[in-house]
Amino acid sequence: MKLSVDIEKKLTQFTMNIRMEIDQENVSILGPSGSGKSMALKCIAGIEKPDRGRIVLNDRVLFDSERGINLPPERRRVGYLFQNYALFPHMTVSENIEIALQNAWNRKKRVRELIEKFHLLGLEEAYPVRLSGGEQQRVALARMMAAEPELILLDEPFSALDGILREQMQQKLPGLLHGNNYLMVTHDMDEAYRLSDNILVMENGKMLAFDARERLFDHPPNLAAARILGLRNVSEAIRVQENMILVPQWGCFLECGGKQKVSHVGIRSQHVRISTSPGVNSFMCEIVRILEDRFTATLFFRLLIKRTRDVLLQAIVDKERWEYMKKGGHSLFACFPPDKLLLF
Amino acid sequence: MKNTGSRSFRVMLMTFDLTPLWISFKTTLVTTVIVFFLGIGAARWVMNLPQRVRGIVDALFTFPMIFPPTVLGFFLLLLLGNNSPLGQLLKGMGMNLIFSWSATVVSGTVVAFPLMYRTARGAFEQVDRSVIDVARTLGLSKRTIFMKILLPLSLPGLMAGTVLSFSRTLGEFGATLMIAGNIPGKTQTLPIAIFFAVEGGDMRTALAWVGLIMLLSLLCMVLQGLWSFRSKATVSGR
Repeated sequence: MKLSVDIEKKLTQFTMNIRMEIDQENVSILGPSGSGKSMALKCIAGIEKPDRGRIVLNDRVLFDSERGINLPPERRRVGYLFQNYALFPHMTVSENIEIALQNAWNRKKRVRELIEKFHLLGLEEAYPVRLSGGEQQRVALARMMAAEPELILLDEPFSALDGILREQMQQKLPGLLHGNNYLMVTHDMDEAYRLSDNILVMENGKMLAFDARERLFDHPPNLAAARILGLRNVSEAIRVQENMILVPQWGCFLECGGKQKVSHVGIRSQHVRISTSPGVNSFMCEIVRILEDRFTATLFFRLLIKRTRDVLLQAIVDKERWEYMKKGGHSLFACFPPDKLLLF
Repeated sequence: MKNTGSRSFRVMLMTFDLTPLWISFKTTLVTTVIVFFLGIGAARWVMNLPQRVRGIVDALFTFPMIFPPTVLGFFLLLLLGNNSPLGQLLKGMGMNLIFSWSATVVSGTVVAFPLMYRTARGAFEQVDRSVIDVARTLGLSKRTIFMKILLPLSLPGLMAGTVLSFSRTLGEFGATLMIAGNIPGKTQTLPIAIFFAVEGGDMRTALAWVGLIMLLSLLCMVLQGLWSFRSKATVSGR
């Protein structure tokens, strides 16, 4: 599957602008709610019309504002999984699938194959209201695959599922899609990381970044994208020496090489190390608040430095380690490993 | 005494002119069928119009609902009368619409159309947008989507519209009197028969017709209630 998108559409709050090339990859569009991600998918499916631009799927032009081409959705061969699945409520599971079949031959057999493949045996005659969320999603997927799409679009596919079911479907989805590539929209960065090769980060209709997932998480190209990708500790920074930056808001100097022109520095909560002994880039700190999860704890701390402003930083630590440190009653140090600092 | 009473009742039954019932029945049935298709077709057409034109057409289609029936009848008379271009054309084709039975259908249609059109549009718009959108991405043709998805999903609303149109046509008086007149055995419908019976002081006949109309209307309501109950049960799968 090869997709090339370059579109612009004016929305009430902002203008959506997206440009991307996809070639045999699974891609996620990641962004907060209301950032225009679903609108982007709808434009690709043909449900909404962009103001300007071009969409090409496998050498087929779906939309081209200059040449006045705008294929209707029914001729695009683009499958779209809606957030609420949008099953036909007056049709049984079999009927929902059958109506999407493209050719007239072997309909019963094709339906049976899809029913089996999507684990819907025994539910053929059931109406959608009687199905659980997971079953509804599988029917929607089966129906989508029945139409033999060339491109698969998933709009927040797991937001209506909870707990175990969500994890199960995240595992099974690539297999159910037959290894077909998909383009997915989500606001959950872990979901985006799990299920895609490349990630496009979006905010207020603007593309902030588009890259392979590891590169994107390790080296976000700008501050806004880094924030959406989960960066919580950020401050202004001034390069004072080739190997040293001043971080006024945290009130400290940090040893740090790399980029010479620096405006901000940041570090992921997972990369801040809390320990009982000092080291490179480490400062005495005081824990202000703790947010406990099952196996980790998020510590909100303040550096014990005179010039520091009232800024809270966060660190995520293993809970057992935290319990151990807490018992000791030692003073605590927060350490910012130079290789984990992100410079902008 | 008792004997003469039942005899006079028998005489009344035997001499009772049932044609208004038959005319009303024919008119209402034909009109409802016409309005059913016309209203649904118009609703579908208007929904696919560009936004700017849609408002204007919508207003035009709704006008007959807010005009008094006599005013409508007056306009129809102007439009279809012997002196109008349209009337001349019909006359040339050997048809005289005014004061014929067909005129009762014309007036009924004009009066009931907005009801059917509006309820059909409401019913269509109530259908979940994403269900229609997903059908399009599945490659279904516009016709298939309309016939197999939009129509069945808006059926309760459409049935409500049909019952409304039926009752409205059954009760139609003003416009019908203006263009079809009161010709017994030809254009005299039930409501018109009631009016002229009362005017002629024949309260017994009027009462009989009133009772019948009430019975019919009640039946409509019961049927409608049963229908919506059943269709709800199907969609919710119980």
